[in-house]
Amino acid sequence: MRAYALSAALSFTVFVGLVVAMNFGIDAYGIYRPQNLEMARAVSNYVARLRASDAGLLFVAPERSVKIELARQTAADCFVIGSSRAMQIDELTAPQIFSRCKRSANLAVSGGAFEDFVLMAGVLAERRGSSTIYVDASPWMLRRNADTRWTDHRTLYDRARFIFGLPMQGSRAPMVDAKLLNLFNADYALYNIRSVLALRRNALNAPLPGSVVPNDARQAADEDAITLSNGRHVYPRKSAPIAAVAAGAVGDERYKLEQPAIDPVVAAEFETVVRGLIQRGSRVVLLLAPYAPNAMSCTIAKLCETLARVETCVRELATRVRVDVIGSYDPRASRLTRDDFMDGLHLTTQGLHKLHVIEGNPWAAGQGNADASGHAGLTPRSCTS
Amino acid sequence: MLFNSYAFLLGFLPLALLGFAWLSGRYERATILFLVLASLAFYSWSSPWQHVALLVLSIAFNFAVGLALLSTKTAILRSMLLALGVTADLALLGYFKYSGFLLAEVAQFDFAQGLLLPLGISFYTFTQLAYLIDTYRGEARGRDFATYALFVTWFPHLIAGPILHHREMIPQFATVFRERVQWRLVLIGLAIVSVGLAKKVLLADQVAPFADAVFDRARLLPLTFAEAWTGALAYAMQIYFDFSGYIDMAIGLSLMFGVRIPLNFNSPYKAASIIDFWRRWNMTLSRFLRDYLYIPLGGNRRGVVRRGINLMVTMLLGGLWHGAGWTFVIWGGLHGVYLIVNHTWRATGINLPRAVCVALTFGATVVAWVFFRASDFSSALAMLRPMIFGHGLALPSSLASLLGPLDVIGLRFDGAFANALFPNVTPALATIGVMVAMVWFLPNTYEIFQQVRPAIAPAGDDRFVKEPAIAIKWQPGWRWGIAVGLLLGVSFTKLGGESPFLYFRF
Repeated sequence: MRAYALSAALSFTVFVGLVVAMNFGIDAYGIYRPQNLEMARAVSNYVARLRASDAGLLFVAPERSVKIELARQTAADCFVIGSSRAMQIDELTAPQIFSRCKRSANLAVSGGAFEDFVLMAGVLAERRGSSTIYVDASPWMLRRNADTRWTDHRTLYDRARFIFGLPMQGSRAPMVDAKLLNLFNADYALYNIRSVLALRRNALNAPLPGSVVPNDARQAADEDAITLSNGRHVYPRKSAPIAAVAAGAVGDERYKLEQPAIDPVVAAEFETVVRGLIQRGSRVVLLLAPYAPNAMSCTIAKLCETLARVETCVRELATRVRVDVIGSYDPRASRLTRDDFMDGLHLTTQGLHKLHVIEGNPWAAGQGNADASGHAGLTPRSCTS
Repeated sequence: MLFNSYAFLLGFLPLALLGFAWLSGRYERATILFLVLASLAFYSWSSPWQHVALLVLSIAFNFAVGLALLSTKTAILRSMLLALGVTADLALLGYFKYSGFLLAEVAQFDFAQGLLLPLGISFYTFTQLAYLIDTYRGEARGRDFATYALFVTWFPHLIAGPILHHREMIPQFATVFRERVQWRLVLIGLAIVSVGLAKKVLLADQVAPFADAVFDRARLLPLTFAEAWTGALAYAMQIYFDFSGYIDMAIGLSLMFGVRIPLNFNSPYKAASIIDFWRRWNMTLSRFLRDYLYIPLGGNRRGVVRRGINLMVTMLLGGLWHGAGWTFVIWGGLHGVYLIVNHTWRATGINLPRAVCVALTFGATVVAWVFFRASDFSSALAMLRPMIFGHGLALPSSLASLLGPLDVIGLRFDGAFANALFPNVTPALATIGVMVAMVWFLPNTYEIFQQVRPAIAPAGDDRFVKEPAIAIKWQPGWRWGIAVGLLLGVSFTKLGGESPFLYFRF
């Protein structure tokens, strides 16, 4: 029995001790010591170099970590959050919608979905001062887990849910008063391990290719994407042509349009977060980045129906919370042509120049261009459908 | 206070053990009083003072009625005393648990809005009802208030059972504290606590989001066949590991103090019939319902029809005991129907292979859990409809080219998990699959620790030591020490946000 007791005590102590040591020693989120982690420091350094750069830096894989850090460091007063469909937007590419901004920061991330929105809104809510937040409401924004990359930042997500008063979903207590107990948190230890492994793999310190010259980064490299100093993304020059995009892949208009597109619970939580931002003094503008005209042929099953439903839901929400809506999924509402798109759902910088506030729902029968485009008669439905 | 909380594991438990270790074997009365106070402190941690007062008053009242029953010889007076005690207990339970439900149903009157259900009221009421009835029958003779108070408040069982029986507990309390603390039992108890904690935080809490994701949206989204079954199976696993984890912890904690409480769980999903299921699931509740409801109603002694009626009444009330809502009543009623069918089938003498019986029983149980978990009747139906192909059978779009022509028989190819309710489908299915395999093929905690008899098994103990498919026996060696230490360590580091046991709400 003595051997049993000793081995039990020893194995328990060693395991818990390892978890505590990892959480305190690595501390990827800087809970116990600010920026004591190599990864956090590397991301922080990257963002500091990025902000100071003329030509931007090479786009790096931990883009969510970079954008979160940028949100913390930047002195901007206008922010864009959302998906790749909004990653190119700033006051230079879409000056017409940034008239009230002194300086913008683009915090949109690849595949940015509902959880990324909540997470980033939480980070912004903790900044001081008022700001304008442009929220890219892509059609997959109103359902859960449309993209799973947010799970690397589960703690921040939990924290954001706490900030906005949403029901807690995580298994951990993200609040400050749980700092001590968080030392025993196995989930945090796993995250710390993943952070260290990612640090070894990533290219946070890689130099820009020689082909990119300072002040000319907006032309981008041939094959490398660039992140500019304000977080705006520049796609590589050699982007794939539309025809080469596989069905449902990034660039194809079916990307992330699984059915049903609206989870009513998520829609309600989305509205709660928007209201929470407004209550904290922010001005919120919803952004409906258009789809390419070829999508409007509505030959793909449920595509137009989905776009109509989500846009209707978003517009109803915007009316309730009294915020502007820029753009429409329907490109004709902004008089966009195929030349304004890189692919099925990403605008070129030329296309971004044409975005403006659109009142009324272009998808409602009898309104706008939609009525004359072959998909008239779609009945708008609320977020509960 | 939750067993699966740092406050309990790092605060309450070590303090209670230290106090117990110092007092037991030296000051028997003081040990009992200390444990009563510790149990009340445990209860008061998450209850308002009014509920603590209610518990104390309930104990005092029932003990007084019990004393009066013991000292009264007149039959009519004894009957009146019993009626008074039972009526008061049921009135208390009814007021807190059922008044809102009844008034809302009968008079559409929202009377109980904001009325908090005292924790464990169903358990301590039933415990004391049994005591009163047995005292009336001359089968209980408790005259020591402290021992009685400890019997009712004993913290390992107080909030979510098992339902203790005075015959098993009061004699133990009267003798066990004469001995010094047995560190061997403390270590074994801790090992059982580790297993229970692991069941809760590593299994039940991990599968819970899959169940929640489906049940919370059953009425809002057109669930597919695969999603509905995944949600129902996830809940079946959640409630199994949640409840059995809690019971393991209760047994282990009690054993640390040298007290054995009754076994409450014996691999119910291995049951080969619904009759067998109810001998394995929440065994102390089944025993209570059998001894104090089913048998007094006549049991099976008055013919087949009357037995069916008695079964239905018992199961309907058993369902209602779990909660004031129609879904619980339907759950109980469904099990009543299952039991009647089971008895009828048994009378035919036809035997099916055991694996088929286990699978059928499990399937029937999973279907019934849908009502147990659903927030309301329409949500339950919204879950059940896709489970029986009500929305056709949705398959992955990748199969469209292969099985496309079969769309005429209702096959769809827009995705088996089209609602994207889970971040990743494969891990969800793998998690549930592993859990199903665990409940079917691994031994239960009692079987693992059977050599130390950690709990009181019902008469015919041999029934509980059948060799499982994979035999695992606890041994007090270093290998088991490392395994238990790691299990406790992993579970300990997975504690976090508050995650109450499901049976706390009953």
